[in-house]
Amino acid sequence: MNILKGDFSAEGYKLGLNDATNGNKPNKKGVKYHWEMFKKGFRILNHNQAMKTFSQGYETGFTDGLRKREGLYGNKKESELLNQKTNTITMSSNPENLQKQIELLNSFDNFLSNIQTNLNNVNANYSNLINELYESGLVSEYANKLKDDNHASFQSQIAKVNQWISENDKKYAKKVIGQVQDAL
Amino acid sequence: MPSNHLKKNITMNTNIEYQIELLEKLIRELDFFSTQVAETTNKYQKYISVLENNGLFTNAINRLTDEYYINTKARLNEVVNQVQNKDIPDAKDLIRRLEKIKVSMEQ
Repeated sequence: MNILKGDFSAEGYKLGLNDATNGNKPNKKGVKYHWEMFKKGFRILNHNQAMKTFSQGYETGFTDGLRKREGLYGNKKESELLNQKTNTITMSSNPENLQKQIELLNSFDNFLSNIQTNLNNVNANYSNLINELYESGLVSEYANKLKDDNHASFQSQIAKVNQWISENDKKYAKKVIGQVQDAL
Repeated sequence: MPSNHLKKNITMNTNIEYQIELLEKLIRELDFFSTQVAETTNKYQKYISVLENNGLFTNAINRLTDEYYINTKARLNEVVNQVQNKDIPDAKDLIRRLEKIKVSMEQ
């Protein structure tokens, strides 16, 4: 928090992130409520600026929180599959059990695809932010370093991980699906 | 009426503030990515565990664990290491430089 500058974006961000990850609805009333509760603890010098930064932080946090819910916790189907209780290790040749294994393996394959999508999204966001920095007139020495050193290396690593997942994890998951289907 | 020099300083100052905002956004994005990787590897492990509990044959469980999970986790962690040890510190360093420029322009 930077009270002297009237910047409360970090506090708003934390609350926004928390609201979204807990599944609370996004609305202006939510921000206002948080702000009213929050400001009681401080003597706010520049009220308009403080509330503006708090609201901006809240919105950014809320967006990140939504992405966290969608990206990390997966969909309902996946969550149900992973949280189902199983009694013990049952006979793998049981047709019902084999069907369940196929369902789980397909969900696992989708999960692997989601990892790749998320990696590509982070890479695209990184690239977009650097482009914005260029457009804003950032000193070219700094901008070039971010682009040619930091982001280029990040992008290369992301491409390697994605390639690895496609050629190994996903390929093996599909092979095992085929083997279980053959056993049906 | 501000002189051209002053006008130019005000414009540059606004740009620097915006650039700092963008760099802070980049840091948040990269921090979020690091959290996401940790969650992802946990979920990967959970999939293997659920598949094992549902009777998937041992050879597949062993390969998924010893070969694919370990390698993929290591590769993802390499990216996180770069982000945490290089990209985020570099972005923070750049913010400090921009703040210094901003202060010197205000004086």
